[in-house]
This record gives sequence, structure tokens and C-alpha cells, in this order.
Amino acid sequence: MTCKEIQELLPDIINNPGMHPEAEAHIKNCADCADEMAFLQELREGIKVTIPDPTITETVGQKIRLARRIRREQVRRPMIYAASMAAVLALSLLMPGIVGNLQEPVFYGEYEPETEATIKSLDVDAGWQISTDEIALYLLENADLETIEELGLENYQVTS
Amino acid sequence: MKENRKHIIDKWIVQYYDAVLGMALRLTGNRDDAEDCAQDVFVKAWKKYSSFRGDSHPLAWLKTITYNTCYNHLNRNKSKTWNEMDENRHSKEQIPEGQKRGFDPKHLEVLSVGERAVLLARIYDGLSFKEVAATLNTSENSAKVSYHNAIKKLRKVML
Repeated sequence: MTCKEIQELLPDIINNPGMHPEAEAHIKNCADCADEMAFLQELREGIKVTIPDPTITETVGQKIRLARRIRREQVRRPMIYAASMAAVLALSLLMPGIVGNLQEPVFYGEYEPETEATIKSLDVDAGWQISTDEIALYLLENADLETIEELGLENYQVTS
Repeated sequence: MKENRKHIIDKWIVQYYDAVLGMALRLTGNRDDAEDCAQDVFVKAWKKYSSFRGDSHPLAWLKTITYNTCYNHLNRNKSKTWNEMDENRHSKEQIPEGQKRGFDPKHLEVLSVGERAVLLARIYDGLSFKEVAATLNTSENSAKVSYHNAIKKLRKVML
């Protein structure tokens, strides 16, 4: 092995001593490689001491914020479904009858269990037919105010 | 399965958040950026949980996401400086005595974003050049060049 090859292995030797016996034997007899190894060890130690991992007590608040953020993301996922439903509603309002005649599920995707349950609950007795009223009701219950306003659903009257 | 994901990510936050934040701190040199990146890492992990291969260690997977997230973050915000390494807490006095050359976190500032990421991944987190290349979306050869440049630059400032 050349000095260049050995010097490229030095981080591995520092992190896992004993894994490269041939290289380690070379370092013992090579001033250049030994110097490079000493420099890297010092650098690693310097980084470890001056920029350590934070302690548990420093990060409790951050962990709670993060867990809350992920909860919010979970809640937001059904909104993706709501947005898709909004698009269908808009289409169905423009072209009445289209949505009511669908024989297949309108949307399939990897929904959260709650959303999946909602989709199934919409599939009442008519196979996978979803009425405009059902879509509107779903949106009124689940979509954000902006979407409801955009679609003019604030005063929506259920017809059936 | 989805319930599991929720519980697993919660467990990972408790177990690995500090390690991920530490990595982000070393990469960004800035507490605010590091916190933003660390939080993004777990949100990404939650979103892409289905691509996690159970046979690898979760921290190894999170490390990959951390390097990638910080690297992209730093490339987007190149003007940001290495501004707070909390000098009161991590003061030079904590470096063991007898060291010929003193390392200061600010020394890492002389490195380009790529050089810093490769150096830390290689010497601190023990990633192979192959893993570094895959993580940072570069070639193995280019990772080696960045590594050698980083060492050369640090030798200069630390002497």
C-alpha cells in the first residue's frame, strides 16, 4: 500500500482501530503517515470537545416543538384529500351529474386511517358514488376557511 | 403500520435528536440553522419512513438525511456566517492540555460547504468515501479531492 492509500484510510483506522493491521504496521514505521494520523486525531478531538452534541436538558423544548410539528403534519394530510375533493366539487358544480355517475372510487391514496374511514363512510349505499352534497359536507367539516370561501361554500344548502 | 410510524418517530426524536442536532451544529456552525435543519430531518424521516430499510441502524439513516439537509441548506444560504459556537460553553479551556496546535471551531469556516461536509462525514462520523459520495450526491473521486483540500487548508490555519 502506498502512503496516499494509507492516508485515505486514516479516518477508518481512527474510528475502528485494528481493522487495517497492514496499514497500522506501516504507520508505525512511516513518519509522514504517523504525522498525518496525529493531526487527524487532534482535529477529531478538537471538534468533539469544541462542538459536542447538545445535552438532553438543552433540547427538551425543541423535541416537544418537533413532536407537535409532526402531529400538525399528520393533521394536514387529510387536507390534501380535502383539496382533491374541492377540485371535484368545483367540477361537479360546473357539470352537474358527472360526479354522481362515477362507478369507481374517485381518489385512492395513502391516507391516514381517519381519512380512509371518512372516504369509506362517504361510500354509503351506492357503491363508490359520491354526491356533491357529501363532498360539500366533507369540505365544510374538514377544509380550511380559505378553501371554503374560495368555493363559495359558506352558505351551501344541502339539497337531498 | 401507520400507528407504528408515529410511535417510532417519537422514539427516534427522544433517542437521536441530540446526535442529529450535534451533527447539524458542526456542519452549519450556527445554532438557529442547526435547529431548523435538525427539525427538518425528523419531518423528512417521518414523511419518507416507508423508504427506511429496517436492516440499517436508524441513526445511520438519519445521518444521511442530516448531511443532505444541512448541505442543501448551506448551499442555499451561502452568505450566512459561522457565528455562534457558544464560546462560553465550548471554550478553548476545555481542549485537553498538551495539544501542539489548537483547534477552533472557526477554523472550519475556511472550508467550502462541500469540503466541510466531506471532512466531518469522513473523520467525525466515520462514513466511507463511497457513503459520503452517495450522501452528498457526488462522485467518490470528487469526495476524495474535497477531503484532501480540507485537510490541507486546516493544516495551514491550525499551525
